[in-house]
Amino acid sequence: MRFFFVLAFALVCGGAADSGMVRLPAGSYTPFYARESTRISTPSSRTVTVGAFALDRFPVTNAQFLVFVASHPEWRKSRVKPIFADAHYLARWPGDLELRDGDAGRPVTNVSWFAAEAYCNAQHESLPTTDQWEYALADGDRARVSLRQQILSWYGRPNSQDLPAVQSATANGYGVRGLVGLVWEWTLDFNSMMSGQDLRASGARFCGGASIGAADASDYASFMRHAMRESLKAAYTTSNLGFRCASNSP
Amino acid sequence: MRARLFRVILAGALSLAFASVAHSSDAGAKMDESMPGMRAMPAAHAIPGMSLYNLHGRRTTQDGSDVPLYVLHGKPVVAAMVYTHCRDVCPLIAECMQAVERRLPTSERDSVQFVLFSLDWTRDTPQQLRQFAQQHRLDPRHWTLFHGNEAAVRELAAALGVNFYRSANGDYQHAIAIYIFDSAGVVRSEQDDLQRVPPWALTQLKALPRH
Repeated sequence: MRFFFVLAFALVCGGAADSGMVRLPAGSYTPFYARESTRISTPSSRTVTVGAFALDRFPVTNAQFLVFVASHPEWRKSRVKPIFADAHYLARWPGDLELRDGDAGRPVTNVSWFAAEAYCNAQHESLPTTDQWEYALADGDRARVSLRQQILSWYGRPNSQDLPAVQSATANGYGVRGLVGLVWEWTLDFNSMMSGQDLRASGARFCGGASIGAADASDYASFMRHAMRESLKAAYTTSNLGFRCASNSP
Repeated sequence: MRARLFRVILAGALSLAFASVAHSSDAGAKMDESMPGMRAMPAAHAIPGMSLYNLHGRRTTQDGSDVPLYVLHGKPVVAAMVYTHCRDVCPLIAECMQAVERRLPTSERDSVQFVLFSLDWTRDTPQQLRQFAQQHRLDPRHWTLFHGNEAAVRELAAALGVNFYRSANGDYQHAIAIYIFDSAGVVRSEQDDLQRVPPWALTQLKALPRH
């Protein structure tokens, strides 16, 4: 009975999410780590072009994720295969189909990359690429300095026991909410950064010819985000890592 | 809204009601056995939780067979992720794996599989992979090359921990490692120093149970 209640609640709360995407126009941004091919070098251009896409207005909530696991039993915490998620998968949930009071509207956390991508695929979407996510965050350079301060002050805040509800997050210029201030978020290609350790041994361990260098060493917030992504493995789950989905179709 | 609410509740109820039934029918699910070399899929719970053979993506071999990774089960695997347009290290990876193949005792060569998974979901068609195999004289009795779509490539790279970056011009930068899977598809060891590959692989393979 409780399950039905929770599901019904989940639908009411999460119902907006189906249409809850924001269209972002095509454009470009300057990533923290600029990548260039060493062979086809265009040193003048550190900017990355991003095509038009749609991005979830909010991070995915517990309520939305509950609807997903209800219809995809292989993603319930009692059934998920360990290759797809570590032992802390959905650690906050008291049961397979149960949420803590107050969690429905909070971002879902303790989800692995595999689980996040499976959720997005079930909506016929996928995780945003790192470029798409960073492009959305850059917000057309609308408020660069204050954005950096906002990000740093969030990163510096200790993890609170309970995350804010996604609805509490403010919108950036595109109308995307909660990119800062709620949770870190998975990206489709979180594993596309070659770590410093790997780069030092690049001659021996990498194939192909892309080189990277920090575009702006003072952008400590971006550095932290990249370091965080580098540290992840696809099955990892943590209490401050969630996700949202993106769509490339018009 | 009300109708939709009902549908979701109904779907939830159905998924609960059928959960146990579905589980038992999964157990009986079989692959298309008309395909050469295909083995019946086992009950889902018979695949170890850490096995790569749990991955969902379907892949196509250099012969054009559309298969799940599970086709590899039953024998240990020496594998790497590469792309065939790579001029530097990828051919070297294949050569390192061939060195392992050569150094295996003749009696054991048929009980090990050598596998290359392509990272390049656009250019590495099965035909392109077949050409690569021929150019590098990869023995078709022991070698399988897999093409996967983007989702299948990303899924496997994530599971193996192979970091890669695909640039706008379609070239790749990727971490280099050779992996050994046991006969159930669980990664038992990885090696990122190509020079050490042959002795490492022979030692690792020796330690694995054979069928």
